[in-house]
Amino acid sequence: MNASTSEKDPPPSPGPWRRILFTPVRDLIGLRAPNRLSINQMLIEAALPSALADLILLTTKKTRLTRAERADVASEFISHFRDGMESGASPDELVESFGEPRRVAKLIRRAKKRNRPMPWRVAMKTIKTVGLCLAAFIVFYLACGLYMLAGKPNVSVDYLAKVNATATSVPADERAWPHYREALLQLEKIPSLRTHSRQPMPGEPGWETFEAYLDEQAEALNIVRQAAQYPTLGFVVGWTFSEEDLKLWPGMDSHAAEIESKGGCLFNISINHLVNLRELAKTIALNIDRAAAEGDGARVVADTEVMLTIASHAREILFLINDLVGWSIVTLTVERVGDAVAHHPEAFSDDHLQELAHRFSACDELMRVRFDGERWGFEDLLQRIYTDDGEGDGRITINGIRKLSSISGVQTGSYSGEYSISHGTMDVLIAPALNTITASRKEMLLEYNRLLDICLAESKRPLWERDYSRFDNEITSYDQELFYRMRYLPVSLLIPALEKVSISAEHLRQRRDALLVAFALEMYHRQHKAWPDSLDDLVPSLLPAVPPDCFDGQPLRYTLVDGQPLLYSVGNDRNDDGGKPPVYPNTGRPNYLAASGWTSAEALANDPVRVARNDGDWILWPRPIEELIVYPEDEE
Amino acid sequence: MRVERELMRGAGPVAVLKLLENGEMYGYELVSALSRRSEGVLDMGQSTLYPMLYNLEAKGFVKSRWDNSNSGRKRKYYELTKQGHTRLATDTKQWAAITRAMIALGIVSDPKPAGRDMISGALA
Repeated sequence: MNASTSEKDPPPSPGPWRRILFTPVRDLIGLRAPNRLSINQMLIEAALPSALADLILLTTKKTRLTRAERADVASEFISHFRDGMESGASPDELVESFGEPRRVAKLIRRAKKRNRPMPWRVAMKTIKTVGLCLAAFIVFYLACGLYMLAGKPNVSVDYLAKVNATATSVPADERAWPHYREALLQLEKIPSLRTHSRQPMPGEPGWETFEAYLDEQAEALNIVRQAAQYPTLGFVVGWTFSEEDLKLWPGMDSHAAEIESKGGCLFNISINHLVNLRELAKTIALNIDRAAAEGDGARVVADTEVMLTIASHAREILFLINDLVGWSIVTLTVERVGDAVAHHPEAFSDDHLQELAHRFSACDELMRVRFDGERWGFEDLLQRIYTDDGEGDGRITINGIRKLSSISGVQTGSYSGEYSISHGTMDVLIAPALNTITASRKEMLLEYNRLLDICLAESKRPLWERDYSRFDNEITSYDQELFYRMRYLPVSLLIPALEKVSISAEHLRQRRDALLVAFALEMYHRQHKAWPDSLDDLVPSLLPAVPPDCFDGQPLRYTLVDGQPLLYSVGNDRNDDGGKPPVYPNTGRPNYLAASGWTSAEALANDPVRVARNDGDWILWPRPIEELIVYPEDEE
Repeated sequence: MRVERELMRGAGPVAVLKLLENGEMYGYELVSALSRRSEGVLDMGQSTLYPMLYNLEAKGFVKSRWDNSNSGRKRKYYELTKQGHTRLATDTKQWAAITRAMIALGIVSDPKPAGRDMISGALA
């Protein structure tokens, strides 16, 4: 034994603190393998000279085996060296006979690996292969991300110009909008009586407030009537506003400019003027109430024309929202003229009634369902979020993903308009996945148009024959299938409630048809001093044909209640209840609107609750008007 | 005289199997026995022995177990498996054939003891 080595390298003695450090508790806290696998600890306990301990430590470390395998090898070496020392060999001799540690480690590693169980080796090989594949995929994925970063949209079609085509086709001095605007700048807001359950009609308490209002607004209303002489509204939508328009909507220019700077598309265009046109129509409607009560049928006819023209002006731009506002104005007109004929028939001459009948008969175009604006809007969005291959196809861009995120409210990053490295990194990471999932530009457009076409085809059939189940199923799949929703995200976000839109048009048509029958009834009453027994008596002299009930296709229902005529539809339950509306189950009071909502016959058959709620008819004319309740003024 | 590595690669395993033929042995015991009984010809350090043992174990010719020695220390003991015995028999025949060939060629001129192969003779 080499005495100098053993004296120089006294075996380290594990102190109490070090012993504590190597308890199993430490391993547990550190989530490490058990202490029995600690080679350091084994060497400390073996009390080998440091030259041998270092040799074992170095060799086992270089083997790069598992912790358990290294511990096993170290144990064997410790045992070997101790045997050697006991048999009289010095540490130096043992070190010399050991061999070169790196070579030993290499040989041991090779042998030990062969010794590993087959499942373990298979698992390792699998992990290695999967790891390589994963690495290759990540490289490919990041390359795709960079490729996507290079894609830029190409806004090649000016859809805004298409939308404004009608407005800009007429000279500025032949447009109605400047006159409407002038009236709007003068017009006060319609009074709102907090104490009244509804707006009073002529003769009811509170009507005097509206009468006074109409007197004050007479000049503005005349300007509105002049505006309605122009066939074209001429309101040009866009990102900029004239100084005059900004008087109506202060601050709109900066708001619009901000949206435009963020890449706003057709769907972001401001259509504030629709609210204003509806306000004008409401004011004119008040005047129809007043004119009828004053027996001035000519004024009713004239203001009816004004209101229908405002409705037509509202629909000048082809968006669905324009149609809906236009229809709401036509509905308002039908209701008010219907009220006038019901409550003040004496105000109208036969010519007035005939003129009104002709005017409302010609409203079909106003009630037509159109999706042109929606298609343009969608195409405009696509050209801003996809690349353009020149053949109508392309892949989604990074900016497109951001735009979709902002539309859907899904945050894919903290993008605030400025591009930074972190955003770019995030984009590279998410873009390829989204690009893989998201449909191509062409597929996206086809899907959107397909859904629109399904609904458009259905809207051309009579309501009682319609079946929206196919469309409903498509929409349901967007709601329920995440992949489908993600693939066609713009479609699922932007497809309008087309079914409801089409049904709204049918409801309006039904109301309009009932009004035409009301005109005929009044004429019949004048001619015969009595109401007809059946609506067939009106045909053909006063009515070309009895219009159908939109719920079942049968002729519109007619009855006499207290000697007065009543026109109604069987309503959603498809049962003729003799003109009685549904009632609220808790109060027993009539619920006039409950029967008008349309549900397909199949869906209704499976929904007894709805059937019970809709049990009654939809009263069309005379329009049922809730009792006016006037509440006392508040103390404060 | 020390044997070249390539020769050792062929002779080492059969020598170890032979040593284990009569019972289990631990690492240092094997090193010592090999050195002593081959008169240093098959002297091998840990760098050769232990990888060799692990290989033999991987091939199923030997198996190991940890046990306490008489001194109370733990040691890893190796013993031949059934497969190892078969392998040893095969290798012995091959080495005998090689030895005969070497004698015939005059490379081994004075085999001692006669009729036994070199390795068996050396380790007997």
